[in-house]
Amino acid sequence: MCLKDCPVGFQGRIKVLKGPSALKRRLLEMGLVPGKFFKVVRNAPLRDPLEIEIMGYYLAVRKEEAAYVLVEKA
Amino acid sequence: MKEVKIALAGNPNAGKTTIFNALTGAKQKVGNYPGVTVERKEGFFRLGDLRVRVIDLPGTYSLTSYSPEEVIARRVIVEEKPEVVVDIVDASNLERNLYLTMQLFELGVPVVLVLNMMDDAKKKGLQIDVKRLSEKLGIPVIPMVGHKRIGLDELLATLEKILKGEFRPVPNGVLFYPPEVHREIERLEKFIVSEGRDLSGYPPRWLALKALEGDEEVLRFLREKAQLNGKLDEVLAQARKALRERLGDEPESILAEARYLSIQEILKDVLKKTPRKTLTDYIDAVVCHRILGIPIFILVMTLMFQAVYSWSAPFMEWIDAFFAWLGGVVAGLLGEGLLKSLIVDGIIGGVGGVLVFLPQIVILFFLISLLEDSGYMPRAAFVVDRLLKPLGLNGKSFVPLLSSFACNIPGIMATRTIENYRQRLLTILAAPFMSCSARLPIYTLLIGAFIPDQKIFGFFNLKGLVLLAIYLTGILAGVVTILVFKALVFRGEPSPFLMELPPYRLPTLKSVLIHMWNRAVLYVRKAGTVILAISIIMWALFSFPQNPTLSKDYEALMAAATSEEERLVIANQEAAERLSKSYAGRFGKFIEPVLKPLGFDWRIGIALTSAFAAKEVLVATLGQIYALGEVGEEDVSLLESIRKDPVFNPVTAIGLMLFSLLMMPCMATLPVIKMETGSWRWPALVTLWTLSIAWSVTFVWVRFLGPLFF
Repeated sequence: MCLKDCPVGFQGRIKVLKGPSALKRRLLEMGLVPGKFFKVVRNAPLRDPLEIEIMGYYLAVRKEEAAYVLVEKA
Repeated sequence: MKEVKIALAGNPNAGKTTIFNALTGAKQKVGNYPGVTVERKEGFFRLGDLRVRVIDLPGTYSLTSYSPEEVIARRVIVEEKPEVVVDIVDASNLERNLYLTMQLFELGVPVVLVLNMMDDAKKKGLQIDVKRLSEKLGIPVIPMVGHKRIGLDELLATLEKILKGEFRPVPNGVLFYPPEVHREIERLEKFIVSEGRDLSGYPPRWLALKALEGDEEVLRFLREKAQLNGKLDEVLAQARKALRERLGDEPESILAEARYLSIQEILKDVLKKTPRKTLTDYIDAVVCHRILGIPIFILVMTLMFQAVYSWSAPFMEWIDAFFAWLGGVVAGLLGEGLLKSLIVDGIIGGVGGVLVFLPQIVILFFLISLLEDSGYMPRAAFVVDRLLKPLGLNGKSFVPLLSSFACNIPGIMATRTIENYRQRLLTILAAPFMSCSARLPIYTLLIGAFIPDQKIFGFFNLKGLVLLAIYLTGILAGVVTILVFKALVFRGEPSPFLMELPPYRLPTLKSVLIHMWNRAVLYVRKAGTVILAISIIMWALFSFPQNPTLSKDYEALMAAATSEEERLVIANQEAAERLSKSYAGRFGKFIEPVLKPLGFDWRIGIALTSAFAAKEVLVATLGQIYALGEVGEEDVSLLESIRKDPVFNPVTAIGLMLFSLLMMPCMATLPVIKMETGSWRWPALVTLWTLSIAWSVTFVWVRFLGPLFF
């Protein structure tokens, strides 16, 4: 499944990153590495972006970018 | 005294600035790197008998070539060769922060690791074995709490040892790439060493690694400077293909994963976690709340706008009053004449015109520092991001655009908080359309004169509706500008929006004050001088020629006048004629043909010319043209004069409001745009673009839309 569709409270692992290589690199830099555990903390009041917890910190990701992150439930 | 150089590197939000401030105090120099709008911050401090120059590198998450900040950071490290790079990491977010550290290791430079915000780490339930970490990495690791100066002495002592040559903190080989990657890097490295011409001090191993990652900058460097033209692509394509076949992924992903695997290995027996909820979690539960988030955002923004808009007013009045007083004193000393006019109206008026913006700049940056340092700013961006996304901007553009309604100058300066250059430029291009407070007197005058005090649907006041429509037109023009330039000039991939939400922290007064001070100095030094020069030119345009041929002998009339009132009328008439015969007045007449289709005549041409000095001056100039002397926007005589003037009717009055709203920003804004974009190209473009928009919109209104309404 896709990070974009994860409900608040979802816990899982990053599986695969897709999309253009610039985006991939940026996602990796920010810690979205395949195998990493993460949690969906909340949606912004206007439903986009979403906030995840990964590597012990909080990161806001737009749904547009989250669509390129495939995840699996932990 | 011997001077040595060190550099501070680190992620944004790692507290780099706090440590920079703690090291250098107020001895800082802020400027831009040549050719780009990345801020260069330098400071000095003494260490024994050494003078240490500290370069505060831009905060980055990585050292790729995707953003100018990252390119600058690595260029400074390699080309300016600091003795040591102090890598400041957020101890409460160690794993991700070490990603940059790994890339510093790849560069092979001496590194000292500072674990900042140890207190946050403890609150979060993290235990870090500092000694073990230092042993593993082979470099000094110093735990610190920057804003409390904890650990500062240890950092200084360590730096002193290194700078005196007692040891070189070269990291152990802690980075493990898969053997296949290793082999390809080695092969590329050999190729670069044997075939490359000039490597300019870049380590060949690093060049090989980056080339493998497909780093555009490095590839260009290898082709042009190292002259590895034809063969490079071949060798590289081979290597990338080999990796893709064996490891099933692109080299950039493989390398990034390898770095994180190395970090995991390093942290294995160093970091222990017993995760706890922190204050940040509780605050965010409210501040980013589904329902409460937006009202809180609106409240904070209202307070901020209110502060910039009204708190600055008394200070601005004092500055105005002071320069008026100074002008009066100097005028008394000099007596009538050209010199008096130059010094009083040109220079003193000009300096006052520069400094009058300082209160707004200082107050806005005081609040921005508070919001940034406390951590609310990224939350604000998180909350409104969705609204700005369709424009290709992100939430960080909100504050600059909002501030522009008070004054475009601090608003444009506030775009520095936007990391992405493209988004910063788009925001700067739209800012001048936000109706600043200096435009309000124009609306007050024209609405007061022409819009009837009439109720629409029982409770909307027509005057208020027209004012609202004017402001909305400005916003709409800004939106159109962003969309047009996004499509025309800034095509290509949008930068992904990934924003860290750092823990909330109590801002320190020192940081806030230093930030404020740096901004004020930057404005006065970089923009102030140009503004002063332009205002002297404007003065000259309005004051020359000195002795035009006048239509009447005003001196004789004056002598014949019997009453004080009569004399005043004559003096005002003379002033009006002199104004129309000045170069600026002639310019106003010269542009009349362009303004004719809008229903404006040469007098409005002169008024608009003067509005370039500062928008509100338009009102005073109209007063002068109608030979009324010095009048304000609510002066009855001015209201009556323009009402009687056949040029004006409700349609042209609104047309003039639209034109003054949309035309180029005042002369003080253009140098600020230059300062923030790094080139005169952008203020030039803003001038052309805003004038075209102003003309077209006014034309459509006066010719087609207006007559439908009035």
